[in-house]
Amino acid sequence: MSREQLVVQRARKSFHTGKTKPLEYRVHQLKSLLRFISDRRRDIADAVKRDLGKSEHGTELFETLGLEGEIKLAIEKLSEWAAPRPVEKNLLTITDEVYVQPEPLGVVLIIGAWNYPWAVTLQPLVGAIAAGNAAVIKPSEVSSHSAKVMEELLPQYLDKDLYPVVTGGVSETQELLKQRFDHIFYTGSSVVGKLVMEAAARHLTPVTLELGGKSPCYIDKNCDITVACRRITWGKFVNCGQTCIAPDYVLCEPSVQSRVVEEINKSIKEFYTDNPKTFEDYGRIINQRHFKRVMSLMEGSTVAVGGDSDESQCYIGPTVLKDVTGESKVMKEEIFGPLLPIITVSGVEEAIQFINEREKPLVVYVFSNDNKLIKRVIAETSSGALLANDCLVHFTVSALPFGGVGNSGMGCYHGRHSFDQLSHLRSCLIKQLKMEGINSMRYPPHTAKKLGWARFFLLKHVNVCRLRRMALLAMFTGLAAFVVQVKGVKYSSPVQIGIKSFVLVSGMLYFTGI
Amino acid sequence: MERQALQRAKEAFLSGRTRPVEFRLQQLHALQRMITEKETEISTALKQDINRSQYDTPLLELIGIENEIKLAIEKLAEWAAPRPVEKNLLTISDEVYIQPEPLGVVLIIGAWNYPWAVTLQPLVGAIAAGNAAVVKPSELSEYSSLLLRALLPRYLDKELYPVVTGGVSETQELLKLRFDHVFYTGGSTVGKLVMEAAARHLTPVTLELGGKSPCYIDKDCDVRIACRRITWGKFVNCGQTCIAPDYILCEPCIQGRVVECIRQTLLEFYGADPKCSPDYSRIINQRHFNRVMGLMEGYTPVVGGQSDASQRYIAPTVLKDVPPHSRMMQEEIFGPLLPIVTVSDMDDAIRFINEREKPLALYIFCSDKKAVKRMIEETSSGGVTVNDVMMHYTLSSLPFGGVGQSGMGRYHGKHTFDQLSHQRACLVRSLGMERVNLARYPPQDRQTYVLNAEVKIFLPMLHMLITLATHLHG
Repeated sequence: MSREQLVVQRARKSFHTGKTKPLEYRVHQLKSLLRFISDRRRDIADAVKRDLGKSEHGTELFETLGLEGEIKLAIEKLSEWAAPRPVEKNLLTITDEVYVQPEPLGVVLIIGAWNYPWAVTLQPLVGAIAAGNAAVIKPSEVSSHSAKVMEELLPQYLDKDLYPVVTGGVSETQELLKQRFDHIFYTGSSVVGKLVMEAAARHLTPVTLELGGKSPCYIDKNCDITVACRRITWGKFVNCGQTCIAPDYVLCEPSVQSRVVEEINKSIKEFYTDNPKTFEDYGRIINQRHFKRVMSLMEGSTVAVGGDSDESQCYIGPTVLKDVTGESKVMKEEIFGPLLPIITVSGVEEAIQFINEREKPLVVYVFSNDNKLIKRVIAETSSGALLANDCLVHFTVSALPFGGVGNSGMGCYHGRHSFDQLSHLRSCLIKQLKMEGINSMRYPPHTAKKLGWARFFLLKHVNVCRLRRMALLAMFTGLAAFVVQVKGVKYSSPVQIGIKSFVLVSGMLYFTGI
Repeated sequence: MERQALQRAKEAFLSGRTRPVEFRLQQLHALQRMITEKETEISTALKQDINRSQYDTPLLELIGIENEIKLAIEKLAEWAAPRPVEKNLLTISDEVYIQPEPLGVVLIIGAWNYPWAVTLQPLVGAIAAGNAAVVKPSELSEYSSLLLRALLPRYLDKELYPVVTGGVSETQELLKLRFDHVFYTGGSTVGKLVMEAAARHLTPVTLELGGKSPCYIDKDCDVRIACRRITWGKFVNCGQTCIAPDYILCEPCIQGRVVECIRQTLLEFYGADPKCSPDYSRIINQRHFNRVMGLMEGYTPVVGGQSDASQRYIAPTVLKDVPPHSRMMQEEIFGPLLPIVTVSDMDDAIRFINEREKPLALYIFCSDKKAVKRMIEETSSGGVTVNDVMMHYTLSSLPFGGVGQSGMGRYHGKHTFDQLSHQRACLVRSLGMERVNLARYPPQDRQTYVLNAEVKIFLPMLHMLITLATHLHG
């Protein structure tokens, strides 16, 4: 048996003991994960520095801060998320218990990526733990230092059998993908995403695929170009452009192109000094292969800013390319590097057309003061998300589902969405073995009369809230009649009994909480 | 032909005409009219396909579809509207919401057992969500399939919602093409092939599959009523229901009683000779007839067992003391055979269920609330109905779908709409308040100086106020 097979088997066995069922256990694991991040802050920052050249501040801001937020939210909300969720009843189920019960799926496989090795590997883990699953964690081998640290240190904080870390390259991942999981959570490229889904299909395993694409960024000529460019510059060059939701390319009218170039140049200098190479907060390309890939994308385009590089350090300076067209090499694939092409369009109409001619991206960015224009872009394009007048920050709003559509992915996560994504939401209807008479309308031998009754019960849309309010109203009316009687108006005895029963019945109807 | 249908549907979708809610409502109203006006034709087709009784057609298929259409029409504006979400401190002055959007062109592959319900209910959701849809009814329910192909274009937009008929090769052709979602109802084996084909285009899927839905009868419950309900659920549509109780689990001491009660109920429902009852269906085709008959081989039923191959008739049949390793217990029966497997107690039943694949439904007949909760907690299944069978299907607020081998995704009511939409996260900020962003920009060491006052006093106060405000607001 292969190592991968053994790991999965152990995780499954451990899951079947039922120890992840109690919420206290899950909270305990989540608290340990939180401790891991604070205890091992140094180790994590060192690993990321060696993998991506990111500064310690950068790691905190972009990896661990978000992760801590997710863990704290899960700890706070877990009992609410895991509780039965009552749903609206109909006339036939009015006296029944009807609810959706979230349950664990079993063993989840989490395949991480190298660009934010801690965030994109551990954030899904938070959801997996919260939902009561076991999880096999496969960090990306490309961010090798982070993978090593995760493999060594995580088992010191989390249950070794339930949440094992499996390191390795392509063949280890393929071996894992042959095993049967109850859900696979993959972050990476569309090409590998297809292979993951194909492998999952063999076991009918549902998948969440967080992929990528070319996220367009439209700048309206009438907006505050200075501020727009500062935000775009920040979003683009963070992590040296290696962010799945980085603004991939800019679309703007020719009249503002030079201004855009100028403002981005200013922001680059402000953020990264005149010599980004020596500046601590400017990162590096992950490895030689990607360095070469990104460098070759520049071919055939005019460099307006930057363009400098140093292969020995995998350094590529913050670069802006102008007068780029849809056919340029840089527009053929997701850049995932610090090159920002600018493509000129005649206006928002052409920008929308340009965007729609291509695959649905992970995010569409639009910079404009005109709300109507923004709403138009939303209505006429599609993407995982849409962010107006800023970059990246929708990632931090945990109430927003984070995910792609079409080629940019399927499924979503963050906050409660992670919990729901990695749970089975099981429908439960609890009836009683009484009132059998009412079922006769469904039993053979069938008659037209019975069918009439069935139609009535099944099609009558009962607004249960309204029914309750009516019952309340009826009850008060009855009570009012009673009070009036006490005040001196005499009712005959049958009427008295009538009123009392009326009040009783409507009271019962109200208080039994139909 | 398949490629053309998809191409036309795609072009029609891209024209934008499904965007306005009014258009979708108009299509839904038209679909409603089709069901109402053509009920007789639909009933006739079903009689020819599967010998469905004229009352079972509305009861089991058309009322359900009507319900879904009515609900969609009533709620569409609400479902399609932007859904505001909870903001955080950073986004307090922004517009933050989820905007449901159409996916594009959905492929709906129907099944033969309830050919109208399982094909048109997903279509309701597809239309409501603003998609185009290529509808591929099952060729096994031949008359229904041909009728659907004739009727749908007369009521709905011909280009947006084409019907493509055909068999295995036509379906394979369709699956080579690129859709924006594939909604499949059928068996797990084909389900895997559908998902594999979808993977090549990164197309998300909803798979409504099957399995062996266990039915546990506690010895202390009202066995007579339990058996009436089980009998109804099992033999409706001649057992060819994805959520039919597949087999019974009970203690040996009540097995005899269970058999007797089922026997009595069968007499009441279908008379002494179910072959003559207008309410008793037939097996869909010869292949399935042979398959189901084969499952019984070597076992002597205690009730029923008669058959007539010329009519594809199999009598309502009950078998007792069925061993767990028998052929009948290895695959989904999808026919009118009801095996009883004895277990020593509820724990034994739970163990039995958990040794097998997660089913589409779990049925528990028991009056002890605590025991019921425990059984639910210690097993998994698509859905659960306690003290009845199949009824969780009829409540549209409950998401209907499987887990594990019984499927992925869910639908009914708003769930169909959501399943066939893209829930797009939208955050609309303003280009003002740039000062607040200083904390995130490099150089990273500047913000300690700039934000010290804000961080220490103002922000915590603001946070407290906002928390208070949101709590009061509920």
